Amino acid sequence: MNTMDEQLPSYQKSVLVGGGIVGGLAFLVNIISGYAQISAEPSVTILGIMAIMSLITCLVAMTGALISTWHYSQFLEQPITLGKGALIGLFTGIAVAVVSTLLNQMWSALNPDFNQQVMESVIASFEQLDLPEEQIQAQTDMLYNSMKNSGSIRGILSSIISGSVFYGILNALTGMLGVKLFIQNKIPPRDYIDISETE
Amino acid sequence: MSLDNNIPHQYSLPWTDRNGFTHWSIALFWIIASFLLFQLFGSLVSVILLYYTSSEPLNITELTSRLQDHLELVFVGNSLSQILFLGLGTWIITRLNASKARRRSYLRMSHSGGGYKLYLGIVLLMIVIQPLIWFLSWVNVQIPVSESLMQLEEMQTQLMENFLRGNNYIVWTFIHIGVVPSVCEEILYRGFTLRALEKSWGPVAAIIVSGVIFGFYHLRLTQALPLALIGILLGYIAWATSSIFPAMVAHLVNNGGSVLTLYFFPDLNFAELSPERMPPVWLTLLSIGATLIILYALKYLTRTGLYKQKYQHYEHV
Repeated sequence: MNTMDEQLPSYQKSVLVGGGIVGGLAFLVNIISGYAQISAEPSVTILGIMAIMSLITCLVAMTGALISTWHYSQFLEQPITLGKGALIGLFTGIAVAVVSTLLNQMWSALNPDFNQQVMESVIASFEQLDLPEEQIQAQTDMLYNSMKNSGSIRGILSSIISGSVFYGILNALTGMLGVKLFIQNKIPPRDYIDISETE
Repeated sequence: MSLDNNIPHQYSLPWTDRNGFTHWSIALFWIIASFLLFQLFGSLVSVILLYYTSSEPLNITELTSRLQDHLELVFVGNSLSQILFLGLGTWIITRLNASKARRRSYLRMSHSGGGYKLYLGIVLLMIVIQPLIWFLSWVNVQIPVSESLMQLEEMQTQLMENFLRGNNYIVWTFIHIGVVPSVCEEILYRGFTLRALEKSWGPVAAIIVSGVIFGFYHLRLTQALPLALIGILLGYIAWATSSIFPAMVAHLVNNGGSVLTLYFFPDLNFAELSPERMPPVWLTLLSIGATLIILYALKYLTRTGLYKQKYQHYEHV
């Protein structure tokens, strides 16, 4: 094992900081877009706006690893590899998925009608599209089934797993970016010898 | 400049090793990324071709109907994206795990020992293993699968059968279903993935894991077991022969065989090839025995062939 790795501080706290902050932000964006959907008149344009809001949620979620690596850089005295940054990002993405799923479940418990209203609004907007009846019915059934399962243990686990994979991959990439931005300019300790400097 | 011989110069290490990544993580990343790119690009190309070859603008219903009547365009998109991402993309990504000079070696793109006997053995192997694949298909059918997944698979099977029975030139059908997947998927799985997993976990785990991933990659849960077996078998062939070319031939025999079977025997019912009844036990046991014998013979042939290649020049001294 590389002796440098043995000297590195733990990154768990940084992962929790980044994952907690961004998980909360992603939940907020989700709630805001949900209420925007409920209050608007059903139309095809709304579906486009919802797609953009989903994209914004993804972009927000991707910043988790940047926050984690910045936080971790405060405790480092030496640079770390891109691989380590990707690992920190992966765990941050999992933390984002867990936090945002749990917050969504808490919100559903406080406001049980929220998911139902969002689903009805989406279906009403979907019916504005010029699609065959069978296709609209298939989409409606799919939405209804996902809403029905969302509060169950299976639904929660499914949401965490799929979120972890998706946000984990995205944050692994931004974790590498974070290492480049915040950590790789760190000065290594005096007892680390860069092989390229040896004669 | 003198270097400690135990510490490799950092610039001789590939990007993956220099930057603290593991080979298996890069392989996993590329499998997911190439799959998504392959699906997206293939669908995009197919839709563009459907629009381009239509004389009038299409709505979604007409597009779906046209898709059923022009499956050859769907397979053109499929083949193009396989070549671009599974084949060429993997060749480029390998640069992360291996230096430029070692890229072919990393992907096992070298000739195996054994000559024509090896390839004859490969063809025979893919024939004798069919009863075992039939048995695993029967086992797989017993495992309950959700209704929606069953419907999706039936749609895929119907799509494939319609294409195979359609009025398409046999050569193009053979290329789309036989040649392209056997080259591109082998580069991805038995070239890149097998080697990357082998470097991280050793050959046994690499063969099994790459085979299982290959089995689930086709998104056909009712055929996951037989597909995983084929993946494991191809992985073993590539490892034992130190070359992906025998695995490519094996893959071609498997895929191309179904194309030629339906071409020469058009009355064959496609559904009968995915049985709900168990094959005869004696046939399954015979298949297992014959498979093991041929695999042992292939390993012996390869070892002998490689030995001869290595020491051939000494015969002229």
